[in-house]
Amino acid sequence: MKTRMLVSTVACCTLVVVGAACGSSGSTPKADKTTTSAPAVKGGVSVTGAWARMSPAGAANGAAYMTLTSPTEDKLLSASVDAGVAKKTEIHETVAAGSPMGSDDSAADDSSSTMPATSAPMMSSDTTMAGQMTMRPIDSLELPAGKAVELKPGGHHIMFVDLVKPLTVGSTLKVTLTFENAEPMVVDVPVKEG
Amino acid sequence: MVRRLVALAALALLASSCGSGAAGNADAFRGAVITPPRSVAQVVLPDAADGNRPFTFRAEKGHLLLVYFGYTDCPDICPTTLSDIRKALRDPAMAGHAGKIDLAMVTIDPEVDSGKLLTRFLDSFHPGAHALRTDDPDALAAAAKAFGATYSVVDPGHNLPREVGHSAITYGVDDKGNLVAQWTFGMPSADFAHDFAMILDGAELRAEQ
Repeated sequence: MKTRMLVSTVACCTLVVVGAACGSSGSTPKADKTTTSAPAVKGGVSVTGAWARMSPAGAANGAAYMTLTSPTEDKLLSASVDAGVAKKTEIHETVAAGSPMGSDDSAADDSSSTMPATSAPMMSSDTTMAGQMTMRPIDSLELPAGKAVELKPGGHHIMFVDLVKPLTVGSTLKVTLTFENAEPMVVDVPVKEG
Repeated sequence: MVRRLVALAALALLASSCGSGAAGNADAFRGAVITPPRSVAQVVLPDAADGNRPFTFRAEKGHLLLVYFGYTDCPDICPTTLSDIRKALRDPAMAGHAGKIDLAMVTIDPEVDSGKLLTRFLDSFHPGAHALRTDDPDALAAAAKAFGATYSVVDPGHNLPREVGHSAITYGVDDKGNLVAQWTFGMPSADFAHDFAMILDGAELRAEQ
């Protein structure tokens, strides 16, 4: 248990530093500027930079990314695609493994009481910096008023579970987003190499 | 303890090199240099892409071997890293080094990842990649330990999805079987390319001052 705590603690710190230093991968569009340039759709959520990564051969799951900006406080509640694309669609967050639920913004919390109970985890005993990451579904995604919320590799993503067919470059997915307040909307999500 | 110091140094390096970006010292290594390099050539795993013949963690002569611990159901972290590596190989910095990058992925979820599935998955990114898979949990743990990688596969039961965690790190191994460098998640492909070329050029690897 001590080993696992150590690993998790170090992994948490890693994520914080990585997040601060280079939170986005080279392939990720920057979202900072979309706050001011977002289309003014009254009462609606603006979506920019939507894309999904082509799925590797045999991959069961896929992911889509985009930047959401809501003029008023709102929540992204769900995303869905045609049943011919994937059996299920979820909103996921990628976090440092072992960090407490729903607190990825304070991942440096190293309190041992927040460790999730695990059933026989298989883990190397080495406690070297591991940068271990995991992902899990979330019920909703907060959209603070006027703030660009970026879904990006290594952070939040829309996950297509059990792909019915591979996501191929050049195709476009129709992803339906539902919100707590705003009307549902359908977003064109082009599939790119990533 | 020594390794942890290396890790901390690596973090400091990462923070500084990312902050200054490509405009920083062009000669500085963008990832983390493993000092001194440590041998991983004693580790052997079956290569499903090669009829399950034993694979030794060593690059071909004059090549650089990239090693990643992941799983194919991973929709975000693994394909992002593998995509960034694929992109790096096309970067101008890699001119003259085409074909000198070997790639090996070790599945940390052999229960789901068959050898065939892993081989197909990797072929999407890097044809000829080594698909390393073992049913022996001790052999997998030993391989991970040699690199300092960790992983966990947790089945919460009650029909809940399994939670899989893994080190989101790319490891670089030279043709002597020495782990010489590692890169954390989020490394831009241009920085990957810069570092790969440095290693393949036989340049002295040093961190940005």
